[in-house]
Amino acid sequence: MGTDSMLARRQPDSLADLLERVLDKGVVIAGDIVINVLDIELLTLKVRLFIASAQTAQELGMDWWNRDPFFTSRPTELQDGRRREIDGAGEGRDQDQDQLTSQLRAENEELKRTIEELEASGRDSR
Amino acid sequence: MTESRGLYAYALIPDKDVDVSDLQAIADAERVETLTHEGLRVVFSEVSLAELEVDPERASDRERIVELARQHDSVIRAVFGQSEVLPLRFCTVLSSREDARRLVESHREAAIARLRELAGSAEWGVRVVRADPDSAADRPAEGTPARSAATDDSRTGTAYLRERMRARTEADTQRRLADEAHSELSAYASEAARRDGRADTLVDVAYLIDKDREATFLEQVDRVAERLPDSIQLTVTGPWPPYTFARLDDDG
Repeated sequence: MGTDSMLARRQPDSLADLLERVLDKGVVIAGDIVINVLDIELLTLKVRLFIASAQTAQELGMDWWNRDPFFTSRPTELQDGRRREIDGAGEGRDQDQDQLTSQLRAENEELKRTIEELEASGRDSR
Repeated sequence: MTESRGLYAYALIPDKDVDVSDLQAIADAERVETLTHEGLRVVFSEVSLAELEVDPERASDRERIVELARQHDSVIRAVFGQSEVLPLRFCTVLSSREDARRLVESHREAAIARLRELAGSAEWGVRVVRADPDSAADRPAEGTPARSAATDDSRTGTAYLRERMRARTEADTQRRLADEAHSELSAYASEAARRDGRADTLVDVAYLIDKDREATFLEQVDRVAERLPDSIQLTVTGPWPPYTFARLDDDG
């Protein structure tokens, strides 16, 4: 049982796990020695919002869109959850809640398609 | 270096030989190289800045961002296979080799010290989640269950309260078990860092595990996971280069 259960428990490193580390971790070099190529904080925030939209960690592996709250019946709860994420990231947003929700909904659609395609191509290239 | 190009700096490593000759570099860069200065090496690639100008607001750029992130990680992993490594943040770009040397000069002692602390270790991620989010017990009261809406029936009220208590107890138990799991596993780690949790995450931790303890740590992960009730689930990812533990303690 030992090795089998360990293999069962070991997950292939999901794309979300990778993005959370690559985009949000690593040493930040301050000062003008570094060229400011992109807004890494904004990028990281966007990725966090995407990841936070999944209800459980395993959903980001394969089929999270089946349980995405956008497609189930708890919109109020989802919005509360998203507001906590945004506040937690230290950015206040003055957008009204509906506008934010539909914007995030559209982005999630895009992102989930991207993730699907990339997970598939990642498997193919292994 | 002209305005339109820069040095994409992946990581700092100690002054030891690593073979980067066959590595696929980031974006349009032709190769991965190292620059040695004062006891450290900067792992980098010469890159066109335009290749890195991705806009996270633009849906069409997101696939590109993921591709760049994968390329970044694969270089760091390849180097990590040969040496301790201090990963730099995604898209750390320097103007010139001169600036790369300046970078080393600014952070030399902190980087050397941190690399020593990271040597011989890898990062492992452990996450404990509720297996069935719909049974999630400790959400704030969402209002009365549908079936007892608009009723004063005390039996329904009692049943509701009983269910809430049961759910609350289950939630407390789940959190306690998850915290105990973390507590046991952290005994095998030289460092541990809690990560920002996603929804329904009870515990999400990165551990820095010495290679000599890795097998024991993974056995312990298995033991801990097996003891957990079916309602919660433990997953482990790794080994990772030490992204979560990459820092310079001179606040540079």
